[in-house]
Amino acid sequence: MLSANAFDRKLQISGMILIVGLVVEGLCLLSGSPIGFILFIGVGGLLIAIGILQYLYSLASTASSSV
Amino acid sequence: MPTVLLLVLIGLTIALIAVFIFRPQITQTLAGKIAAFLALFALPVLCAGMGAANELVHATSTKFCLSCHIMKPYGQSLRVDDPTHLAASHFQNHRVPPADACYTCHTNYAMFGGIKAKLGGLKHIYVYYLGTPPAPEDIKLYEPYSNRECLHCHAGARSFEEGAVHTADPELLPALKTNKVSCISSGCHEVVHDVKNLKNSKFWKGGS
Repeated sequence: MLSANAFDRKLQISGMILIVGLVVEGLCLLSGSPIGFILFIGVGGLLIAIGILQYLYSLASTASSSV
Repeated sequence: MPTVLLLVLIGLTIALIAVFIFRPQITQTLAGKIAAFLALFALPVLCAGMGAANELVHATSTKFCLSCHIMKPYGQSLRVDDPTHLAASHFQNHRVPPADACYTCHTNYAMFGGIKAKLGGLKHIYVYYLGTPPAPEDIKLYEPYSNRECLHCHAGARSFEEGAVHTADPELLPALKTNKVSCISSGCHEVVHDVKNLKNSKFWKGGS
């Protein structure tokens, strides 16, 4: 499923991390409990941050390799 | 933003991201690059930001505070049918918004008070899930209750400024305003959450 192209592969990985993060955040919003609040910030937020950083890294690494 | 709309936004974002997982070659065009930026950066930031705001607002609700088992007696104490019980009379007479009753009295009305209250809440969660929570009747505030929190609403109010007991001693009002005498000190509004004696209490059935 993962692409052979390095940029596309990084993009796919960041997308998968973001989806997991968004699913966690969605479930936490539904739960409405204090532990849901912690998971929303600690797990969902962290996964989304990692996914976004991975996407930005893929952009930066592609830009630097094409210079 | 209502939680349902937020969940719809999260669902749409997931669907858009999925397109880039299955067809990453779309990003070879300019429109694809812009769409990828939206799907993999702008929308997740928006979802996380709005979700965090939603969660922070929800965390101020009475329902949220009382969702921990240990807080149940404190929730019951809001329904004690006795006007001398401070928390109950505030809750039942809407002197505090019933939906945010705990937060209204237990937040800190100083600078960065909201942040301090949230950090205190995180400490509660840590103790509840990972520490050894005390029995409900043994729970103590981290700091003595400050009159500042009472005066946030009562300062300037006629019932407070001109109340017979408050004005009987000319030194009392200045002492209350400078927190030298506590509003909840002995002989004044001393019964707040009397969770030890709930078994002997009558409860108000009204409200929702």
